[in-house]
Amino acid sequence: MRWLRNIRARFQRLQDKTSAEERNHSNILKQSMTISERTQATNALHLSSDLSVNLTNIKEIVGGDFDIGFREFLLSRNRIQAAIVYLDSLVDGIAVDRILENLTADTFTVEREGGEIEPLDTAIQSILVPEKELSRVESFQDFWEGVSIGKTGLLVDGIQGAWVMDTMGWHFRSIEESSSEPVIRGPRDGFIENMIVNVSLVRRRIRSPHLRATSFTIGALTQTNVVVMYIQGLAKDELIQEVENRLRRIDIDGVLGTGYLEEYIEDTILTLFPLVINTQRPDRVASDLLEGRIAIFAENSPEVLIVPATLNAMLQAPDDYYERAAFGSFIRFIRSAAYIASIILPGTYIAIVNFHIELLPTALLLRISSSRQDLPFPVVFEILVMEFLFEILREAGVRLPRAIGSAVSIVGALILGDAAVNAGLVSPAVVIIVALTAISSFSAPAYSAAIAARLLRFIFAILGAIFGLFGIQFGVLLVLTHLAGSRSFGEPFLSPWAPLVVDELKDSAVRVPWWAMILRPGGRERKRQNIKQRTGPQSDEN
Amino acid sequence: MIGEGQIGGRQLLLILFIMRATIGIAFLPIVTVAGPMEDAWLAGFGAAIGSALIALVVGSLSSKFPTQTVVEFAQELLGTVFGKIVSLIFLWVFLFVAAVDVRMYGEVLVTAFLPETPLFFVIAVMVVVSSYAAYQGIEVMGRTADFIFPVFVLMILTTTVAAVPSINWGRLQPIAAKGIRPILRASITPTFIALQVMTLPVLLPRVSKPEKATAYAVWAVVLASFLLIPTSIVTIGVLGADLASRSVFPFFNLARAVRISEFLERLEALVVFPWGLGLFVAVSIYLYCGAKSLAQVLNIKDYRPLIPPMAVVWVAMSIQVSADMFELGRFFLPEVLGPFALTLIAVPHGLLWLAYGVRKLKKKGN
Repeated sequence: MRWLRNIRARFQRLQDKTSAEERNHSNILKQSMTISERTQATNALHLSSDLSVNLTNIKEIVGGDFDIGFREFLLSRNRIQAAIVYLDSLVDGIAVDRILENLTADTFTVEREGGEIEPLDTAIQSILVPEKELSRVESFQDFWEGVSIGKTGLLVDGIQGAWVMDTMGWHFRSIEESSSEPVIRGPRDGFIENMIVNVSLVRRRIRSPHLRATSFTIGALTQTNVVVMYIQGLAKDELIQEVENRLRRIDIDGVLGTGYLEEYIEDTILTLFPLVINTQRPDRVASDLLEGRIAIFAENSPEVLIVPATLNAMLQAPDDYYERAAFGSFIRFIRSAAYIASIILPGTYIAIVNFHIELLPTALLLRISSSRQDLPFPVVFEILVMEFLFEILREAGVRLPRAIGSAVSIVGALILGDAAVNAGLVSPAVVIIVALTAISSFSAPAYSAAIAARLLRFIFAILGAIFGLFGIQFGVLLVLTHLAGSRSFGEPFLSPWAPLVVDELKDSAVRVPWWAMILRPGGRERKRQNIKQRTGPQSDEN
Repeated sequence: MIGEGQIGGRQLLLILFIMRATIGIAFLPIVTVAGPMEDAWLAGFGAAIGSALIALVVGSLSSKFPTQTVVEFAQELLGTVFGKIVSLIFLWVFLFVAAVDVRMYGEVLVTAFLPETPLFFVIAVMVVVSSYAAYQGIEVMGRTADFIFPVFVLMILTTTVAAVPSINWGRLQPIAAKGIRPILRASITPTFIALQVMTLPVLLPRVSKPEKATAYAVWAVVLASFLLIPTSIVTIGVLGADLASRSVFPFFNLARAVRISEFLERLEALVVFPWGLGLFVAVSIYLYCGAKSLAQVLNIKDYRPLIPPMAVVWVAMSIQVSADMFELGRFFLPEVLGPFALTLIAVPHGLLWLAYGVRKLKKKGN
């Protein structure tokens, strides 16, 4: 029984130790608290009117000593104790100094001419007028929300709550062209990691007062700012409601990119196709807002989400609208064809070579079958292996440092392409098919839509290998039914093709000139502009 | 997930058009069933009128009950027991016609493209894919029809136009040399394959403007009949009346025969592909209608759980429906299909119309 007593004694000592640790701290937090308990405790905390209590509480919650700054001082003349709290790493030092200067300067006093005594908070409020953003907060949660993005908090003894002033001074990347969505003609600015800058890029394009931006805070720990932007009166009310509801539902630790949000708000997970558009281009966002869609920005994310998404919208690039209309239509046709090809081309090739060789014209048939002689592998195997190799190359190209990226492409092109053919491992036709598929898949403007094609082409290759063209046809039908059944925020994913909306085809199959786009594709009000705007010299009739 | 939803009038038109055109073009009954006739394409007009009449008879009754499917209003008109028995006739039509459609498609694929694949397999895959669409609901089927229609028509017309240079115009003469009787006889089968229209009383409550549904259905069958005219003209013109009438799938044979240039030949994929697309629409609609009306006969709320078991029955049925292609071909002879289809259309609709008339009179009497 001695060992039992030992254990009990040890346990007792352990308990004493923890309670001693707890006693060292005040009653807000305990060492043993988990993160959710801590969050709960700090969220409930209100700032008191006693400066020293506030400071102890804050120091206790924040802990650490690296970049948190507390500066205690006496308000000039009146000798009232005050303190500012800020995060060194996020504030602009000059701005903080200016605040301190103002508060400690001789001009600050509660006594006014004529012997009037002003209340202290009004006096502070008036001395801080030059600050571009000044707000009064009551709870620790709001206080920290400001301080954690680079604002400076002012606590004054005897006053309940605190002031939070904008002193942000952190660094961000400058505005550059988006590398994933480049254009030939059109604006070159792209979104960056700073959401305020991102919002400004769109604001500058749409100056209407009816452009609304409402903010949400998502992420229990990251407290990420998320902004929903739309044009009031153009975007459908139900849509706005739905987007906001879906965003409010999110309960997550952190949002490090809009991709996190995308997975929470999309209509279904059971699809390979993205049901939300993401873009890095402000002109794209602006044009979608003008069509009654809704944009979702998140802090620290250069991608902006746009809903509702349609497949048609994903196959459009901003260039289509900047270049001449006829060319825009042509390039759209090419793009759609390429997108379909990137899905079914390998499968179709396998099906034809395996099952329906008689469908080929004689000359081509002879050429292909002569190139296929003495090949060690069946065509399916060749295609699948080459496609996998290509995927590896592509992935390597993305991950590699720029400097060695070109080496990979040389290895890929020469060794895998040319050498494999010369060595008699794969037929040249297969290399052509794989290359064609790859190039086709690059032509989709939306990277996330191209991802669906990249996955589907493997499935189609297998279908073609097992069932021939028959299998390809059923694959097409299944994908078609699936897409026809998909919705993004209530909008049919294949719209305007299925369901067919005839007057929207003007901006999908073709791109008609701007003066002919009389109706908006969606939104609450269809009429966009006057009808009589045809170009050409002024006619006598008018 | 997706609710049952609605389809627009245009979508109904496209669905019925595709259903009729698919089977009409698949084995081109105008050309094949009535023996060699140089002027068989004239029967297309007869078929247009005949099928329009059928659509009118079926549609106008159904549009008197714009919120009810045939199962519901049959019970209202004839009482629960007789109503259900009459609804079973409709169910039988869906099952039977779909089985025949799929079987023909399977036969072509197996003979022409996949000689080593068992027929059962082709049919099963087709039915499974279609049941996925039926499961997704009428709205999705309407959208797929929207999407498939242009592809379907474009491919059929491409084949037709591509065949025009090869036409030997002499083969199309004489016109109406033996009088009008053979033409009428030739138009019986293409008329009565309009059995598809019997899906209308099930689809109608789901059409956004039920009062216009009949008009759309009439347009659909008439347009589809007119599509048969150019296709049969080129088929006879290229293959000759004799060869065309003896082949099982004349339009398919036509596509094989057409040769535009050295590198553009063998257009049969252009026939088989739209056929597959059209059949997909047709079978999914039959499955939907079958499951929907069976669910209502059995008083089940959701039709979806019925689709998988029905699909199995469908596959079995289409294997069992005939021993081979020639037996199936004989079924389409005017003397066989005519009375068969007439009974299936006339008996239930005669009863329903009668009951409706009696009820109307009674109301007036009061």
